[in-house]
Amino acid sequence: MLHHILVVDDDEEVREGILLQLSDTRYTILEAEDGEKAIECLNDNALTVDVIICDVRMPKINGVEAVAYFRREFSGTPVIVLTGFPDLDLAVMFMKEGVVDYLVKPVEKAKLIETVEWAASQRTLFSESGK
Amino acid sequence: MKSISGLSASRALLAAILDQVGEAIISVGDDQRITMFNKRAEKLFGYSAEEAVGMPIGELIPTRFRDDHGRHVGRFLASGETSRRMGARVEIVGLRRDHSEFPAEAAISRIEFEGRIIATVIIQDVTERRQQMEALRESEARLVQAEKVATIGTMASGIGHEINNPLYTILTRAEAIRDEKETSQSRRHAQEIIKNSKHIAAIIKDLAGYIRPGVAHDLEAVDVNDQLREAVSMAGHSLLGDQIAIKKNFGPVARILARPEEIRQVFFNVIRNGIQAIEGKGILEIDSWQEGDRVLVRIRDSGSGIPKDHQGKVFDPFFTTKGPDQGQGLGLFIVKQIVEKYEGTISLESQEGVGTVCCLRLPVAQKS
Repeated sequence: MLHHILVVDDDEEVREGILLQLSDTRYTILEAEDGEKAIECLNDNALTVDVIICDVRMPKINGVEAVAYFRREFSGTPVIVLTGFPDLDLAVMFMKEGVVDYLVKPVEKAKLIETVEWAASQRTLFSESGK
Repeated sequence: MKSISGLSASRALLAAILDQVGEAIISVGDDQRITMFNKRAEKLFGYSAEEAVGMPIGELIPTRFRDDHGRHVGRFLASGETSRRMGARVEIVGLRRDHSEFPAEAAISRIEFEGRIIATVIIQDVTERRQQMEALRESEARLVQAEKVATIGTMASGIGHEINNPLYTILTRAEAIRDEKETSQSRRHAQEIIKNSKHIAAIIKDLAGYIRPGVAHDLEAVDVNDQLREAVSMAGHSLLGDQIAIKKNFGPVARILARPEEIRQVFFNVIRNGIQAIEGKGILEIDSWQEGDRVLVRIRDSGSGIPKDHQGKVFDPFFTTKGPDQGQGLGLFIVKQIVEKYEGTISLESQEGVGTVCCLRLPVAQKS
């Protein structure tokens, strides 16, 4: 079974950075440059997304709206927010929304892998409980 | 004809009135010697009236100003002509008996009395007023600086985003070089590290220009459109989403004479207000053009508008309708101070639910 991580970030270099950091893991990276593309990807039944890594500041649908949508429509898929905003209020808001973690860039490879693995284990739990 | 006793009584009354006046009053004969010295003058200069009467008026002025002063008074007594407007208050420096100096304002007038010419000088010590003005200027400068710091605070998370993204790119490429089994990608990663390092340096430079306190230096010929572009870019750092369309219609304009960081701050503050007023999705339109010897900038937002009863107060210090985390209500106050310093004007038109239009007019630099 293929394991997928959906990376939602408008910055191509950041997406490539995440790809580099997760290149030695069992995950295949799916990229989306904005919230709209991410939703298209999640609605593609051929794919199973294990974890979503989502930026905050993005065009069209920003991270706040996108995460709210993911949590509502794909509540079984754990979300990690990876942002450049070191903002406590924003972090609290996302944690209340039910995201697994709020990471501030630049995050080190080991920390990202650890967080992704932990989030994926949450997905297993979510899946067993239903959706 | 008045009786002798009546005359001396009215003189005594006049002297008593003059002694009650809160300003120093000194009269001088055509020989520039003091003929009258009221109580306030005694207190101000430290001489008694007995000591002062007969003394040259020049003794009350520091020696470095004395010759010049003597010429002025002499010409005034002889002809009534003066380089100073009659009755107008001028700034002088007074010299006390103990040789200490004080800033003062003086008004001089000339009377012809019984064939003699008398000059009367009214002097007011302005030490306290000067100190108050100075304290006011200092506190205003502190407030302006505090607002800049507060603005930086609101921008900080936005700037964080701008810096942390390239930092993340640098980190991931450096990790990739460290962990690579074969080095085919190393050169590309290194190039990306260099590019992003330069990008961060440019942001820091931008920010440093904004934070730098008001150091006096020469004015520069400033391209208004360049400053608008930079202000838009800085305001853009603090935009959470990109759902505000910024339309830029910059026309050809002559340069203005100013400090570029101040002009940038004017535009930044107005643009930031527009973005905050939009609260989500909307349009911010920025136009620039020239009309005669003025550069015009119009910043129009499709925000919530300013209620009618607030419109007269928006330039007042500390007037704000925003939360405490969005500034202290000094943004437009500072804008007005800067614009007026450069002999420009600013006007606001706003309609609730429609938006706000801010018009700035700045004089173009005169060709010398």
